[in-house]
Amino acid sequence: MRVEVGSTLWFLLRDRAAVISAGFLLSVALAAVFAPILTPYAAQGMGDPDLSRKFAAPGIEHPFGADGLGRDQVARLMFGARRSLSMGVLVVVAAIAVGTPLGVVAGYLGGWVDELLMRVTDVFLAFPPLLLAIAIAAALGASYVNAVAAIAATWWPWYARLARAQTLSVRERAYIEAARGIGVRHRVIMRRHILPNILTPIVVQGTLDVGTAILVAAGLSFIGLGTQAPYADWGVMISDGRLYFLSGRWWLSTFPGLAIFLTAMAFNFLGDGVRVAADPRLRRTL
Amino acid sequence: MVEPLIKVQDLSMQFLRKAGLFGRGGQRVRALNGLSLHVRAGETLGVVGESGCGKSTLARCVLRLLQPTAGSIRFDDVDLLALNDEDMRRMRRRMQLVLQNPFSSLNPRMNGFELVAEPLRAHRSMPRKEMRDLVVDLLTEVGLSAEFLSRHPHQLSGGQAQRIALARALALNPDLIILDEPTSALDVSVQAQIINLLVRLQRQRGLTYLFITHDLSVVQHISDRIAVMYLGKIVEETSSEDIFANPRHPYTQALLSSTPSPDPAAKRQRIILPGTVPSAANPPPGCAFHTRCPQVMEMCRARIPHSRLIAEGHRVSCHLYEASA
Repeated sequence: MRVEVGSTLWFLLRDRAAVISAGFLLSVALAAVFAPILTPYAAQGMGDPDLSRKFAAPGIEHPFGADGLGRDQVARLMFGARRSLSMGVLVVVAAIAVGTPLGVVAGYLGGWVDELLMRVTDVFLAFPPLLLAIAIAAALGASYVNAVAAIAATWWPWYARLARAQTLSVRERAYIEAARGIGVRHRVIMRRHILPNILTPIVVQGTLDVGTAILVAAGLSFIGLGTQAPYADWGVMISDGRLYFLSGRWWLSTFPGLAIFLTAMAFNFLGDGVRVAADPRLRRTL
Repeated sequence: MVEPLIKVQDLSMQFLRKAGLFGRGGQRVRALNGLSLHVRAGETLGVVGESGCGKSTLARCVLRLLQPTAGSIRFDDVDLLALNDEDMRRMRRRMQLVLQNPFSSLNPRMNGFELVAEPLRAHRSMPRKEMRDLVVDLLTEVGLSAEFLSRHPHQLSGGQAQRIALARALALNPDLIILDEPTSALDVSVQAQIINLLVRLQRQRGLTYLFITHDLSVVQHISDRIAVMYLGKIVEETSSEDIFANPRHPYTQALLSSTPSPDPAAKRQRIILPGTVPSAANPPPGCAFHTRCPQVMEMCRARIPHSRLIAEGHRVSCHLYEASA
């Protein structure tokens, strides 16, 4: 395992798009973590108004301008990144944590367990994801945590399916039969033999999905079902600025929009890079 | 006669081969077709047969990794087919399996310690220190050292990997080890080392082996008795000296004549069998071997020969010997 992670990293470092993406994401993450130190407008970033600077245009003082309550957009973006990034990551982590074990159990045990679990995932997949997330978030109440739970609830079936498909192929390997012959319990086989050997495609898919999850989370926040005022995430910022866009205050929605776009794209490049680097058969095409 | 450690009677295993999208229904593949054998405690029974004759199915059925369709398997006088899953799991600590290719039968993500400790974790609980000492002892016993604790399978040679697989099998101090082509994936020089190791382990630990192979010359040295398998059945079974000196079944004779001899002076007439092994999905009527048998008679096409004791410990299923018995 150690060796494989090492060689994957080695190949990943040779993928320029992935390295640049990782660098970009790292700086966004650092900006989010150290926002209070990095910006002189930390209080505004957390939501305090400063009406003297209402709708300040981009300039030296406020490179991305200020919003209707006079809050510096750079600070808002940095503090917003905390929520947007963490929502994206938490959604994927939660979806993997729920979907993967169910998929492994379904694929390994087969039979009626498989049938039951897969029909449940089918039901979840039958709903349009955003609509289901809206329904769940609305039912649970609008908040950051509920938005994460709502999106994860629409997302885990994909990981259940992926994990099941991978399990079906790993299950036939000789070392699974050898472990059964030794008398290893089923749950130990699933945990120690199947799980480590299906993790790579799941991690790859997870990396690819974080960007999309950020987009969906921004969508929920945009319609008011995610992060609540006075805090902001990028979706809330787009939503707040959209009314002024056509009246010339273009900077309000444009910069959070760009932030979402670039972050989602960076996760896609990174995920693609990991996928290629983790698969020895794809490496040669580099 | 001592009661055998393992006794297999009339074992049948049929697989249902699923029909394709436009096929007309499934087909039954008879991998085992009323097979009987027994292994006494402390001895080695070599089971020899061509690929596709059901050897590996036999190994898996005895361990109940596959559920046989019919027949009985008694291990130390316990009916294995009557055990529930948990009791069968516990029983597996007394019977272990070593597979052909160690690189596919060892999880590539586990290191030497995890691999050898796995059976201990499955059946016993002990402090980690004690487990480590035991694993090192096991590695030493199969000719490896403590430095292999941290090695992963891809860092091992074929012989080393198969030794790890053997250490795993020995960990629980089993009574029976089923060896399914344990040397076929190895170089000839390494094959001999593994065979010698198996012989030594058997002597030291009083193990019982069920040694399955396609290669007569491999089992010749290690087996007390040899059973020859053809299309899911044992066709001849006798002591390992006797099978070379006095083969009776035409299939055994052909098999022996195809085994290369290390002695260039030994001239033997080779018996070339026509055709290939018939499909187990559609075995020939009567004696399954009649389509290729050089001594085929009229009755062979119609009647299935019964297993007959033609001498002390020598059983043959062939119409040629029905009259003489």
